[in-house]
Amino acid sequence: MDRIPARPFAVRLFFVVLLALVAFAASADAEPPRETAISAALFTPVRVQDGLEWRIRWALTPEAAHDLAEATPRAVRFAVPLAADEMLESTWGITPIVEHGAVVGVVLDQAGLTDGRVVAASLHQRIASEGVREVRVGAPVVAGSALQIIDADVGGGTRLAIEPGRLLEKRVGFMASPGASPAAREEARRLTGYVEHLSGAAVYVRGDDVKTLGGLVAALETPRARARGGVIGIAVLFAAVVLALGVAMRRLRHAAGVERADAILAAEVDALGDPRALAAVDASAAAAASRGDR
Amino acid sequence: METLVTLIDIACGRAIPAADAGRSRRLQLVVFALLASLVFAALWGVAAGSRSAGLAVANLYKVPMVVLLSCAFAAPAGLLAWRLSGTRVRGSDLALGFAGGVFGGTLVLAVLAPLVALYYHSSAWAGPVLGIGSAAIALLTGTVMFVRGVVRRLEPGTKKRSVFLPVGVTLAMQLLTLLQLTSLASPIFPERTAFSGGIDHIAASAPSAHE
Repeated sequence: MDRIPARPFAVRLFFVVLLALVAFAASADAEPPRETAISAALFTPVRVQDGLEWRIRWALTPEAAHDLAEATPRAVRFAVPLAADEMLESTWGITPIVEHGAVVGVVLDQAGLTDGRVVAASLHQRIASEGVREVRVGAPVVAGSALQIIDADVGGGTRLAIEPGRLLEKRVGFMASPGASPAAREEARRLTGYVEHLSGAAVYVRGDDVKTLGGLVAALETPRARARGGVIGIAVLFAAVVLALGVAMRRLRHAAGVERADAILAAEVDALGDPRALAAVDASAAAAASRGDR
Repeated sequence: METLVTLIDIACGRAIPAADAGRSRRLQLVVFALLASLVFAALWGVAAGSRSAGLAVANLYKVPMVVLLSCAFAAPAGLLAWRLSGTRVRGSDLALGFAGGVFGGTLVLAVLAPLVALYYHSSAWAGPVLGIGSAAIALLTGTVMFVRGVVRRLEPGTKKRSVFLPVGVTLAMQLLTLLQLTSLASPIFPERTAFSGGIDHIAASAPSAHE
């Protein structure tokens, strides 16, 4: 029976240390990238056949953009995880972070930078076509205090009517988190290239507020649905005014007839002694009689 | 028919005949002018929507509704401006001038209705242009008739300038209400127009609307 040669203790120790070093190096590589904040973001929905297509523009902070440009990946965490029916389109430089089966953020790397500090992405949100009154706003709002813009106009006049709740304020032409100053809104628009129209479609939110609310909910509102209440009101008013005019016409007929008769009589009295004037008044009276005026 | 002729005469700025000068008769003429304008507006509405049966039927009430409610909303402001301005024009003359303007404007719509319908059926671009153009001509005609009707019935010695406030306020109110009522009643034309979205749409189109 051959004897297995025993390695010297020093060699065994060398391999043990080497293994430990390799394991340490491997664990260091697996560490997730450092999380970063963003400066602003813009989420623009477009209606597609089975739901909404969200066009996303995350404007990174200058430091994060610099790190990305230096090939150092950075992670951004969403205010609320994506739902099961929301899916980030696979894009170079954007890798979803999955925790407990849900996408909670993304890792961004150099390939994701598209335009200076901006990272563009796309998210598909499935929405049942029938009988849906309220939908979750699928825009992946990033956690933090940066002001982010949700354009609630989904095209064709249809709009996501977001419930303001206690953490959003309805203002003239837009909705915003309390304390969102004009300068902050202007900055968010400048960084994302958003052109605001006074249509009420722009919603300025902070990730922290969305997190507190547990996500935003909105009703899909068509222009017809939006105008329905007003149209019914003016239709009723129109009917009432026409009815009032009809009643006024009936009531005035008698009084106007008496007035005309009085006027003709007075003219006849004034014309007594002037045969030509009397003939003219008679002709006028005859014409009135032929019309049925009393 | 006699009342119609009297109304056309009044709309043209002729003097009111002595037999029609009473208060009740004037009010009757105002009411008649408004009711007749509903018929004229409905005729134009049918023509403007004649490319689609559903739209034509809807326009039978939509266009008269827009016209009548714009008058109803503008009248109180005009009357208040008349009171506050202290002008020496009779209230019934102002009302008659206003109703005469609406009557004249919608009469223009009615006479242009066959042209609008014909071009809507035979041309892709001329139909909408004529549709909006006829509405613009009607507005202009109505405005001219209103101003002329009130100015010609001013009491002797009254400055013409004094009626510009009530007339201007009434016209401004009517234009503003027309704009939004048109948007609420939209679609009136088969295609989307600059006025379909109301003031929001117009403000969004203007470059200065951005904050």
